[in-house]
Order: sequence, then structure tokens, then C-alpha cells
Amino acid sequence: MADFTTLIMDANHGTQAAPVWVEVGPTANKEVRWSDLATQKDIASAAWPAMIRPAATAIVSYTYAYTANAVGNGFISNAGVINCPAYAQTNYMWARWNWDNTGTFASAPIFTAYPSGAHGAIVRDDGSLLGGKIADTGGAGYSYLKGNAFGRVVSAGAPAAAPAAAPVVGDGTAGSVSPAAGANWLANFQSLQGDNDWITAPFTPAATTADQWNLHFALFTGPGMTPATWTPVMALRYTWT
Amino acid sequence: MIRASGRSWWEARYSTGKVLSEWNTMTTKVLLPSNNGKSSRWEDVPKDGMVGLRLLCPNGMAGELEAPEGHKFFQLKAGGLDVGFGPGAKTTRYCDAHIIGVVVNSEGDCLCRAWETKEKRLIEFYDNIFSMKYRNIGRLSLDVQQLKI
Repeated sequence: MADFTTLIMDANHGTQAAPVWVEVGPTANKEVRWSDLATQKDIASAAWPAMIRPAATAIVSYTYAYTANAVGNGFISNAGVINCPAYAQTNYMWARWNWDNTGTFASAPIFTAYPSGAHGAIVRDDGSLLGGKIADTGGAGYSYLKGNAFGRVVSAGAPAAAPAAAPVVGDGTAGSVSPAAGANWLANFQSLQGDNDWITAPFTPAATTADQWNLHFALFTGPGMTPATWTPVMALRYTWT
Repeated sequence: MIRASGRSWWEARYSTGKVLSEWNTMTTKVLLPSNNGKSSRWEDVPKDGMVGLRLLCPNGMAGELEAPEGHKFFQLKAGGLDVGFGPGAKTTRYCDAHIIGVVVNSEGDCLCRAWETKEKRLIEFYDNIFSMKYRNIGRLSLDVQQLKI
């Protein structure tokens, strides 16, 4: 099967002006972590601090790119020179899917998230991180995890501006949404909720051509979220020939 | 041989009587009896005169589709990759299904067969290449599949 040899998610732990892309998956111990603390650089996974559930909905401000169990920096942290900055959609060089020239997509790729690698169904409004809670996340129960994606691949033009709107906890549209093809982000962030809510690229990438697809994600929490150790996965669903 | 490989393979049949097996189109060496060292890319496989497409499955079953002319068949794999979040999250790449299909009318309706890798079963379903509901695939690239509708 002519799948891609390399297909990864990159995170920018450099700066907005000078991105430094590091792989955050799907290799073992490479992952994305969140915290309400700005100082969680190079923390072993077993020592990762819990977060107190807030009394009101709030964004989980600090996102980290880990490349080994105890090796990681904040997104947009100048490779750890500064503490992790609080999330801002103006840091639009945030993350991207990155693939090599060994495979061919057979349809437009999809960006979503699942509770685990089992990719089980998600029940809306169940209080889980991805199931959401109507009182917090609105709609029919959108995910606490929000995503955005750019309307073209980097070879056609990397983003030169941020998404117009910052993510809010109530963002979401049932089913699939796509940014308009071209230099466009989604106008509003999308709920990332498995096979319920997701983002579909407005393009099928060119065959056997290395490229990247820029994306954003932001995590919220709130009083309706069930306290637990949450270890979902963000997923690129794709087809290949 | 198919059982030993642990995966599904496509096999195309042409109006000339020729049969082209996927393992005869591999770029890299595989532990199978025949291998001519060419590309395994479906987009490079001749579509003119292709009148049959089979899916040979590792459980011994096979599914076959037929068409009166070429450029009606498609073949793809559906899967993904996971990026874990949270300490110690599992990350992986995976293939959920190997799909073959034949377009049956100008509206894009199609009959498909798929080997589902986790369930280890061969299934049959109807769908539409302009908006595939199976695993939320969406619109197939006609160029990649070289489909003529």
C-alpha cells in the first residue's frame, strides 16, 4: 500500500516570526499537552500537574509541544527561552500537518479528535472533554476542543494573517465544515468531536508532493466537564491510493 | 500467500483477458512469488479496458466488481494518524479499511466492497463518489482515480 512514509503533526515552539517546527506525533512520547501553568517546560509525564476545574468556562491557556517524555517547550516559546505564552489566535503559525512525497491522497483530509486510539463514538453532552456539556459548550453539546484550519497547502501560500475570530467555548457546527479555498481560515473555530463534528480540507493535496496544511487548536474547560485524566487524540483522517 | 501477508490486495481484470495483481506493481521487494519492481501507485495502473476489480482478503474471502468499460473503478485505503495529548497518550498511524468500488451511473452512485482491518471482515455497501458517507470520506478525487463519469 503506497501510504506516506512520513506524515506527522508539527508544532511551532519557535516564534510567530521565525517558526521552529517540531514533531508532536504520531511517534511515541511526542505529544501535545495542556496546562493552566506557564512553566511546564521539560516535565516528565508522571509529574504533569493536575488542573483544578474552574467555576466558569475558560480556555486552558498554555499549550506544550513534547518531543520526549521529559523534553518539551511551550508553543511559541522561542524554543523554551521564555515561559509558555498564553494562547492567542494571533500566533497563527501554530501547528500543521506535514507529509512527504511518497503517497497520494484520494480525497480531502479531515481534522478531528477522538477519546482514544480506539476511535469510539462520542456522545454529545456527556461531560467528557470531547463530548462537551451543553451548559458549557452550547449547541447540542460541542467539544471543549476547538480547531481551525487554513484553506490551502503551504506550497500554494502559507498563512499571512490570523483567523479573524478568537476561539470561544461555544464554537461549533454539527458535521463537517471547511474553510473557503485559498488564503482563508474558518471564520469561527469548529468543535472537534470524532465523527460528529470535524474540519474537512477544501482541497485534495497534489499527488506525490510533499506539503503542509496549517491548523490551530485550543482547549477549553468548564464546570460541566467531568474531572478525569483525559488523554484523547487529535487525528488526521485521510485516504490514500 | 494472501493469508500470510496479513493484508488485502487488489487485482484488476481487463477486457483482453489480462489480469494485473497488486503485488506485480510493487516498488519495493515483497515476499511474494512475482514482483516486477514497478510502482504500486493506483494512479499509474492502466484504466483502459479494466472490466473487473477484485479485493483479495487475508481471511480467504474475495469480493469482485464488474463494469462494461474502463475508468469506472476506484481503489483506496482509509485510515489516519493520531497525535496524543496528555502525558503518555497513545499515538499511531493506521489503516481502517481497504476499499474498491465501481461507479454505476452518471450521478456518481457506486457499489463498494471493503476489507475492514480491525473487524477483519469483507463488507459491501452502496455510496456516492461525490460525497462518500463511508467513514466520512467525502468527495473522491476523480483525477487521482482517473474516473470518467
